[in-house]
Amino acid sequence: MGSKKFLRQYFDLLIGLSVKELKIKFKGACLGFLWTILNPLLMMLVLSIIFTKVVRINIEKYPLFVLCGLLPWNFLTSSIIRSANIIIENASLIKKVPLPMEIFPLSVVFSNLINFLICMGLLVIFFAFHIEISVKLLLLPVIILLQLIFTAGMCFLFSCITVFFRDVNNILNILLMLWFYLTPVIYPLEMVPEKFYILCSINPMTMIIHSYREVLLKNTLLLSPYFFIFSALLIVAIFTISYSIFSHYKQFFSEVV
Amino acid sequence: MENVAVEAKDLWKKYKFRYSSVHSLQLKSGIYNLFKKKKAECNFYVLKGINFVVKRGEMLGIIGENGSGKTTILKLISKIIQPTKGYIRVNGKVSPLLELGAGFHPEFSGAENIFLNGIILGLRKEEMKKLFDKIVEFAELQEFINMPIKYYSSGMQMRLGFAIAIHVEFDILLIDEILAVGDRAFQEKCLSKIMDFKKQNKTIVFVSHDLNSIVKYCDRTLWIKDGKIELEGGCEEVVFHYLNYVKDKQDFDHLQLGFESRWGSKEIEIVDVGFYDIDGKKREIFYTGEDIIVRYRYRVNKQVEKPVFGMSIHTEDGILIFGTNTKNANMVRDYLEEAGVVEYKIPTNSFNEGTYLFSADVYNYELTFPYDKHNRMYRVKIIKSKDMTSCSYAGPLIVPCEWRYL
Repeated sequence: MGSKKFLRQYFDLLIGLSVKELKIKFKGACLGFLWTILNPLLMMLVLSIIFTKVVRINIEKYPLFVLCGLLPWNFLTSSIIRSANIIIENASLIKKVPLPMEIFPLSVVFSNLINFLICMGLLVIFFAFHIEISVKLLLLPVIILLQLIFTAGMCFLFSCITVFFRDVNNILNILLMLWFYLTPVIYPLEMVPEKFYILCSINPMTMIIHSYREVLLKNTLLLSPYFFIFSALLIVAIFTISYSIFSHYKQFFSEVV
Repeated sequence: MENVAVEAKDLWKKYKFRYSSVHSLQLKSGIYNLFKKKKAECNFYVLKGINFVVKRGEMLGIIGENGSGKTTILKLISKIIQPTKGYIRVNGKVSPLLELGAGFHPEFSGAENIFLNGIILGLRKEEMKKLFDKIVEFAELQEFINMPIKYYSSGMQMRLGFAIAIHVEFDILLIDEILAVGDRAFQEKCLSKIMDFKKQNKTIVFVSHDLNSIVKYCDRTLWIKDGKIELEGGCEEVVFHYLNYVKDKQDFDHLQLGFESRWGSKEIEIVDVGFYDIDGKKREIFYTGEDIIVRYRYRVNKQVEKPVFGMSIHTEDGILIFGTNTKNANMVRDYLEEAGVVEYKIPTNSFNEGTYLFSADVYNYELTFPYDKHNRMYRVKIIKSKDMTSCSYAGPLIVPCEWRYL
């Protein structure tokens, strides 16, 4: 078999499984695919009420601000949560058909990417008036790519770890909650006290979420390009390490699950 | 090496088990295990140095008890797992082990699952569209194909899984006990499909507990015992030794039921068995009350002392009606000529109408070892004689029964 045919086959497989992932999520639900959009909107509504009426954070257009953080954050967490189970869930398949293990976490990432892109697209359309149209928008694909790499890395890592240590599944929600509060999703980066800067800078999601805001919103503090480059390098490093762990242990998946 | 489909050399497979997971429900031992340096690990060798070759176009049967490593071999052939030691070389595309619909998603309809499975098995959408109707037709699921799989019976799921698996292009077909499920009619259909593949000169590796089909269809058989090849060779011979082994371990009457075949060491060979009427005409159908003469033509391949010829009769549902031998009749000879004929007569047979399975065999004098056994290989049909057409008896034998009023 030529490597070209081989690649095409796995591309088909990746698409097929990603579509399956998307379908599973909404199978049987009356509103079906509409939930992709409804979910973040409802979350935005809740957070906006809390942070503008109860805990008063003084930020212009808070709903838009929080949505810019929520969408990428949801992309990351729903991918991680789903990929933590993806190998175990497909045990019957993995034990029967020789498949490249990579496609399982990748299908999760791609299905969530599609969700994310739809939401992002709608966000840009609906809030077109509030969005600053400038050259900065050209950076958007770069940021999305970086987030994609980071999310894929995390998915490789967690899908692999949970196969061997199922305990991780139980602690995952708490970890993600902690991570959520450490990342400027519901608050702006400017509010972080100086002594926590280190913590923020080693968290790639800080850069990603902040960059989305920088690109899409007006009046956002500009990050230094050094920080951007540092985070980008960090993301690539994390991906490389995660993937090498994954590819070392993937040969045992069919025996352990 | 062009005509070799699968070649395994010194194949070892080790599985690791961690005991700790058994106790991790208890907090104390869970934490203890977490910090213990050396985990309680158990290495378990499923395969211990296996060598075999499957030639192109050959149908190889693999038998053995549960847990002996049969499925592990199939998994190694299909590259789902990697050997711990040794190597396995496979020439050609291997069919998937998709029995029972692995990879089906319960919420998806049959049609969606067919397409998804097709993609998983490496088919393009266009190819899949062409095969779709064939698959649905083979699985006999036309009316249910748009229904979610979760409403399917397990038999329906199995049918769909099998239908998909065999419609994918392959050179080497792996079958792991799929015929154990599904109704009789579908089993027959699967078997005839497998026979088609055999005729197309595809290589087949067939794992089964159904020794009957192994003997009937395979060209060669491996008996795996405790991760090693216990015996390799002709199906009848291997199955015979396997049955003998199983018999020692447990009562295996249920296994032997309906088992029609031939085995033995062939020092003396029964070359031919024929049924004749009183006029010497060869027949397979007799009337009740007729004389039946059964002739064995034998050949002596190696002189043995005091061989005993025997016969037995079973009903079609496997009940032994009668059996006897030349020892009972005091007809044992010390030595036989190189070739000859031995016959027995059943005068005025008292079989009721029906079909009976005759066995012919030749054993050693102690009746412990078969030279040649034709187990239930000969069918004889008994019909009512003309003067009995008004009578209707129950059971296989007509026992003379004289009624009277006192």
